[in-house]
Amino acid sequence: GCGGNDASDPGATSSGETMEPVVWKIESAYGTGDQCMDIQMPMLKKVIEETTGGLVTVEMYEPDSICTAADIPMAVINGTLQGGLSSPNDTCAIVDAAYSETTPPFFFTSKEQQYDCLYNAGWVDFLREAYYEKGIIYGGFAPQGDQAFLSTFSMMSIDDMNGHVLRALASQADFLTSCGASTVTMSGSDIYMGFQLGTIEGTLFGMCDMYGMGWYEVISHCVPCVNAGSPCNFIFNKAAWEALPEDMQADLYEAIQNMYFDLYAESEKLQQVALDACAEHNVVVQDVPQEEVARFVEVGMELMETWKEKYPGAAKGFDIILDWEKENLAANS
Amino acid sequence: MEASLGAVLVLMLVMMIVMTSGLPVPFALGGTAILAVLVFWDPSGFISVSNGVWSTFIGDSYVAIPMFLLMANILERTGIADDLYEMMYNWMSGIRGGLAMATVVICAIFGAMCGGSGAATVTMGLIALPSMKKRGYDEKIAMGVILAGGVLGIIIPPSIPMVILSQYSRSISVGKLFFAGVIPGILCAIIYCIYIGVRCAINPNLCPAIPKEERPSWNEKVKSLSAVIAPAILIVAVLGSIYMGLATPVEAAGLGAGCSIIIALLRRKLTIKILNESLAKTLKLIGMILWILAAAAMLNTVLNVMGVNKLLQDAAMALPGGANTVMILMMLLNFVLGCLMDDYAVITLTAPIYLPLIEALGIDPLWFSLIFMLNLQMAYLTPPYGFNLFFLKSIVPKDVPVTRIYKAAIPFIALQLVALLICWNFPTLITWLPSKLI
Amino acid sequence: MDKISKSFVNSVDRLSHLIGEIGKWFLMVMVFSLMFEVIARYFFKAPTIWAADVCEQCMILLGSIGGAYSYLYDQFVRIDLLYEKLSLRRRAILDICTFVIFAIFMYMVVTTNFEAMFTAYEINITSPTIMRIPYGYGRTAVAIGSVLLALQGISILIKNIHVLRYNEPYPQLYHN
Ligand code: NA
Ligand code: NA
Repeated sequence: GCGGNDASDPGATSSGETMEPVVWKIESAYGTGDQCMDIQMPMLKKVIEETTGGLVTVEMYEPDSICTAADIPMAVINGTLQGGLSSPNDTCAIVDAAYSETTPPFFFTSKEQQYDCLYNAGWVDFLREAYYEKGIIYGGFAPQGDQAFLSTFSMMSIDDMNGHVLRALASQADFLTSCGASTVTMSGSDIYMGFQLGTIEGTLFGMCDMYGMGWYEVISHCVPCVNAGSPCNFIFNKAAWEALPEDMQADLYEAIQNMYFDLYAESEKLQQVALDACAEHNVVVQDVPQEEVARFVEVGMELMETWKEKYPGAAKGFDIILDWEKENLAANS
Repeated sequence: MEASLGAVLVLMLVMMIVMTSGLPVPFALGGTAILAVLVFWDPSGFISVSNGVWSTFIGDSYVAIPMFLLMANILERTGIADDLYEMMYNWMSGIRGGLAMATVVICAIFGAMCGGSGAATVTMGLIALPSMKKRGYDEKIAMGVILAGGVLGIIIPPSIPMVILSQYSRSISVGKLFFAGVIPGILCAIIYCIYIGVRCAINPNLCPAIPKEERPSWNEKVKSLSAVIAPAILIVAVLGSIYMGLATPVEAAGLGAGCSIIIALLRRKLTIKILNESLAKTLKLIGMILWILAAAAMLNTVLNVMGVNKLLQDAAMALPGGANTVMILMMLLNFVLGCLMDDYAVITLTAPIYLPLIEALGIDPLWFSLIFMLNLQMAYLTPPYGFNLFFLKSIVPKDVPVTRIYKAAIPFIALQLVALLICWNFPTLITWLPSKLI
Repeated sequence: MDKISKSFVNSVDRLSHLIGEIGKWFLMVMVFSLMFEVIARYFFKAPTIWAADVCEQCMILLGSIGGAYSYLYDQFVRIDLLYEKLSLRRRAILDICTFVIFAIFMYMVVTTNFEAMFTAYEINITSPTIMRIPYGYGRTAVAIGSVLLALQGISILIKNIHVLRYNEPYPQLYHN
């Protein structure tokens, strides 16, 4: 056992048997005002309840209501939660493979590329297997629109990062340091003031978060880049998931995969609002030139090679991304 | 399982009974949480017990708390307060009520160095109180000013209760909250000084000025100014390092603790014995605080699963008078709770319920947090349970009965209420400084 | 019986005290780490990768060790509205009654924390930071700290029974 008490789960029914309706408690890593709670959770609830034909009712919980955001993966394992919208930055405490989910900036330049690597190149299959070993069902990727490099200085190349102080989550610290930046840990709620006072000069974060937290008031530059930093994913409790009939499990996997572009579209709407706010506050939204993107990718690829040794559990995931990237580069050249 | 408002009230009642029976607060909170899991949840909810402990212990913002505590515990023993008092004495003893006003100013300076209220109350109680009494000051004013002055430490940044409060809302930055406290803290200090001035003007015998021939020379006055050096260094280390972008609030707390140790060393006040005692005292306090926070986290989880937030939110929305009524009710409840329990218990019990409600009502959480803190200020002074009352009782001569300390506190509680009402009606006093930080 | 309980109380009190005396020095480790981090980052542009982790581990130890240490010195705050006004004996009776709540609470704290500790080792949970510090150690500290706090509670119960029987304060080994 994983130390949890699964008494809340229905007696596991093998497929075909009739199952009593159940309630799933699902907690989000980010609360009201963030797209996790405002867009992704309601959409997930709708998809689950429709796909299971009302067998499962979803109760949505704000972060810190049943456990802290960092504890969501653990709570999903031990059955306190039946599901979670979790950040790989937290999940990697338990599942090594989650390290492969936080790719360096500019590996993907469009949502289609990311989707292709996730669902066609076998990345999600790998994640499912790795999560399963630790007792978690990896439901699927939860796109949050573009991530962005937000800063108080112009960031057009790797060289620009040199000597600047950036706020970083653990998994990003390696990358930013290897670009010559200094990193600092601070809580998300202090980022606004950190920019204001110059404690930090940049960070990697979601565009929509940037809008939600009002950072457009205190930054001067913004470089959007797909999936750099920490997107979220949908995870579920093993016992609760496997209590569903098998065909229903397969349907759910598919339904979550099919949500990808809908979620992205919703995020893009919010992203437009964020871009408007940037324009209004004279935040320069800029694109990194192609040759500089190539340099970022190069540094990222070198780093991933070393990460394969550092996080052996994620090695296969890094290989999938690296192979996909090599193919992509070959196709473009 | 959904709970009714009645069930929640019964649960709270049970908790209050357990608490008043003398069981330490963390066990009362935790025991209530376990009872609630049994009644309203299922055994899978017990995992929230270990989650509560773990997530509290690894909470990265809480790192600031032991650092601020250590800083205060060392400062108490460095003699900085003696020097400051001597300086203030030289400059202000010639004024009617000058020593009392000086005490307020020193408490405010101490407040800017420490995160809590204990250090200022204890040191001023030991230094200023005997001195004021010797000079014929009215005992009620002398004690009251030390009681109220000490609590300035939780309003004037840095502030441990603010660190804890900010944990209950993602939209509140600790640093912003710190800066929001500057003006209200100074406002409180000014109100106390005005009160002393007015009382002295009406009745000159209350706080007599010292005779001309006893007043210190200009030479002495100027020389004593060096007393501000050490506090200035410490304020720069903590608030300055945050303001200049050198350090995060957590790191600033560490800098403050480190600098106070270095200053104690330079002043030759740091013996192994003093360091030993300061560390031990800090561990005792942080051990207690972390277990209260852990137990409160458990109870909070169960209340969330019970849907209490939603329940109260609906109830609040249905109230006539809207946001104002809700605010007034919250403040009244906090005042009553503040009479009965300590600051940590009040915050951990009410903040997780209040803050989501405040955000749902569209009230600025930063402004609310400061009003909350100004209310909490009174809790340190309201009998029967008030930290500063206890601190003072522990250092005054044995023949001073506790009722005399209670009486000394009353006018200052009223003054704190005045400060709260002013900040309530003029929110810019709170929000202006944090919005100007560039 | 008296002798056994007395030696139990003494051993528990000594243990809580001793561990606290060692544990308090982790505060100095935190002070050093935080100062070092700021200086290294600001003046040498070379922040550490360990300061935040070290502080996190220290906090875990402070919480684990500090509970029993604080309770030993009767520093856990209580609402003494009625309590203060009672005689020594009545207070002891009240404490013995409320011990039931303490016992149930600590039973849950100890068992769930041990479960969490085993899980942490079993699935190898680490900190999500570059240092990847195994959380099993921290969880072990919390589990042991919970046991210490529970033992301290039992020690205080025995002291209260003494008060009830002899109507005199228990001769404490450690005073504030
Ligand atoms: Na303060
Ligand atoms: Na009070």
